[in-house]
Amino acid sequence: MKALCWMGKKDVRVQNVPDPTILDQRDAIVKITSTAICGSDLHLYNGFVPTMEKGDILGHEFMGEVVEIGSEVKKLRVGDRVVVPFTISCGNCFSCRKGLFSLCENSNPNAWMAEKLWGYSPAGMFGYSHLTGGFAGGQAEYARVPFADIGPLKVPQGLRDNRVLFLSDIFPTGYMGAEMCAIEPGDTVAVWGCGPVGQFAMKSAFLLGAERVIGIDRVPARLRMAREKVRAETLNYEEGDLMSRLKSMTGGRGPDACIDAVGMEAHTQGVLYAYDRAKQALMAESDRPIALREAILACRNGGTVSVIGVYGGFIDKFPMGSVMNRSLTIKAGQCHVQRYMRPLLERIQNEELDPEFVITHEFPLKDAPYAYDLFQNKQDQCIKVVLKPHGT
Amino acid sequence: MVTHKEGSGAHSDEDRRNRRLAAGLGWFSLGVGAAKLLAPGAVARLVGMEDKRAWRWLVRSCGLREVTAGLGILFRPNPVNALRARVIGDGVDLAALGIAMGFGQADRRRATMATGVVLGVTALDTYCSRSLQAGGDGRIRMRKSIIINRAPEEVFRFWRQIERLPELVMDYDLSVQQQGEGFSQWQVRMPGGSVVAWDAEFQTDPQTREIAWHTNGDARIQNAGSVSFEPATGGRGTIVTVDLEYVPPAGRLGAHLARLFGAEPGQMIEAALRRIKQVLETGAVVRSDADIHAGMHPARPPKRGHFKQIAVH
Repeated sequence: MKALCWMGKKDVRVQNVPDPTILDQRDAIVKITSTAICGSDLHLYNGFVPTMEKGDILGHEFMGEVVEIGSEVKKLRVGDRVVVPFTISCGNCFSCRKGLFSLCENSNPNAWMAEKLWGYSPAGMFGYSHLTGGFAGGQAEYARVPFADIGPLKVPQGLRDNRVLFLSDIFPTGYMGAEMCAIEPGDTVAVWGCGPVGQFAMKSAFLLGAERVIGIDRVPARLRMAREKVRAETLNYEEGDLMSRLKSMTGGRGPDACIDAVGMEAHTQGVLYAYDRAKQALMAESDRPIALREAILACRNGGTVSVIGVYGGFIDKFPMGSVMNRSLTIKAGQCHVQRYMRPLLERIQNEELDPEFVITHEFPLKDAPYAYDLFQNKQDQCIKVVLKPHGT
Repeated sequence: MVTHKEGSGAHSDEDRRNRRLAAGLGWFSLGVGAAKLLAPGAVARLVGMEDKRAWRWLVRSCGLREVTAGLGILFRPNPVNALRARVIGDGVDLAALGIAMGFGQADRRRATMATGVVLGVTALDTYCSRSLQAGGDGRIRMRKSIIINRAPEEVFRFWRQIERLPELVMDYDLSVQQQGEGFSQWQVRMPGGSVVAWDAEFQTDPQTREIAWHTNGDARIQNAGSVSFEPATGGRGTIVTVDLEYVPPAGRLGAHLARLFGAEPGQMIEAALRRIKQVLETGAVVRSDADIHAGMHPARPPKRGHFKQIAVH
């Protein structure tokens, strides 16, 4: 089959690889009809994530048709149409039983690697380096899905792919970002990053009862999408002082909750950016916490900072004094996708939102390298790319 | 049958000698490092390098590293890592000397002598870090534990079928077979196909649910260990704790074991415990597209026939 493989920094290529087969009787093989490129894939593309091997298949947002199942699979049949969550979970361990599916204790065969970096290992993940298990990803024509009874969500035929694809990752991630804010009626929520995850975070903040949602970015197309599709207010951080504008919009108190949907490749102007980039180049700091620092400093006393942007290692100059002295709550995490898929599918079916609004580009799988370049450089007003491995 | 717990510190003569050697190396590191930091030009000339600005900075940075390692050896409770850092640093020094010798103005004779000295010190550092790691009496000890979401009786029952364990949890070629009440035979397959075997005695305490074993005098790999099964707090399952001590054998068998176990023998035990947890909690060992192959392999499906189906129990 054809698959999109990581060959090095800023080098991805579509190659011919063997078809996946059942390795474990709880597996299913899915023929992939739609798959998307995630903002976090760009961290892989840009070489920020260690433990990548030349030839790794990328991709963790995918859906399609079940074409083969192992003998122990009870909940799926050949022919079922499923969306597959990016996180692989066994369903039986302490974490899975608590609904913390992205922390499954059993699904990362390379747990020792993750433990060295992070202390303990989270769950395995599709297509996201050997640190998370070395599972082949979903930017391909087929994929092997472990624990097929636990992960995949069956979706009805009536909803086309583009409407439900994002249940695999970015919609639940944005939703969890908003949910972690513990939004109360009348709240103002500020969201750093108007990429697709940020867009869903803003939309979810409204769904969860926020009265004002403010999107922060510098790319005009993204700010426009936030205003037009999500009905959020927007701030371009390159036009004027962000922090003082947030203060004046909230009567000096600050937003009740701040969501970091940017992560480790944050950007800003001026000296602070130069400082963080220099430290990264010297390998003295692995991540750039620019958005995170701002979110903390901007948040009102007693508020919540919710972190769904991806970080990998260590950061510098963290405003701990601001956190402690002002009773801030910081909540973070990779999304526990399985927990949200069913309720969010219902919201889609009830037409509370149409996730398709974030899609700006669609390509066949063979154009994936071009698509990565487009997405990375935000050219052609690119916000979200969907790939079709078997044609539309 | 209780093994030494980690950290009980057998203070034998050999152990004391090793610690004195380590302290000596620590002071040596501090002294030489300070000299490099404070008088880099003199040091450079001493080892036969040209006294140029670039070399002085190189010497200073080596000095900083040595001072740090020296402090680590002298002031940390377990100096093994600092000693290892010294070994790596010695490698850097040798490389630097090698580069310096390539430049025209170098004093070859002095550089050669300096290389000899560094090699000697490297040997001492390596010997010391290895002996300290092994503990005073040359045995390697470890304790690893894991929490499993099953009742202690179930985990205990599973563990008693010890024959299935190696096939389930270890890819490689160690097998354990029960031979009647209280005895088992262990086998290690060597590269090349030959098999090294030895016997061990077993004891199970039905009261405490502790399983313990030890090898007899003539075993190729002297080892002893115990496994206990304690209920976790809050009804959250069982904490399985493995205590193991063994004497690394010399020669080919030792080298083969070193390769199997890797730099940290404890890691192999941890990996085995993780897989046991996977089997008990989910029914089988969890594999990924990359890790079903030995060694590094890209995360993509395997070629047909290049893998084993995973059994579900």
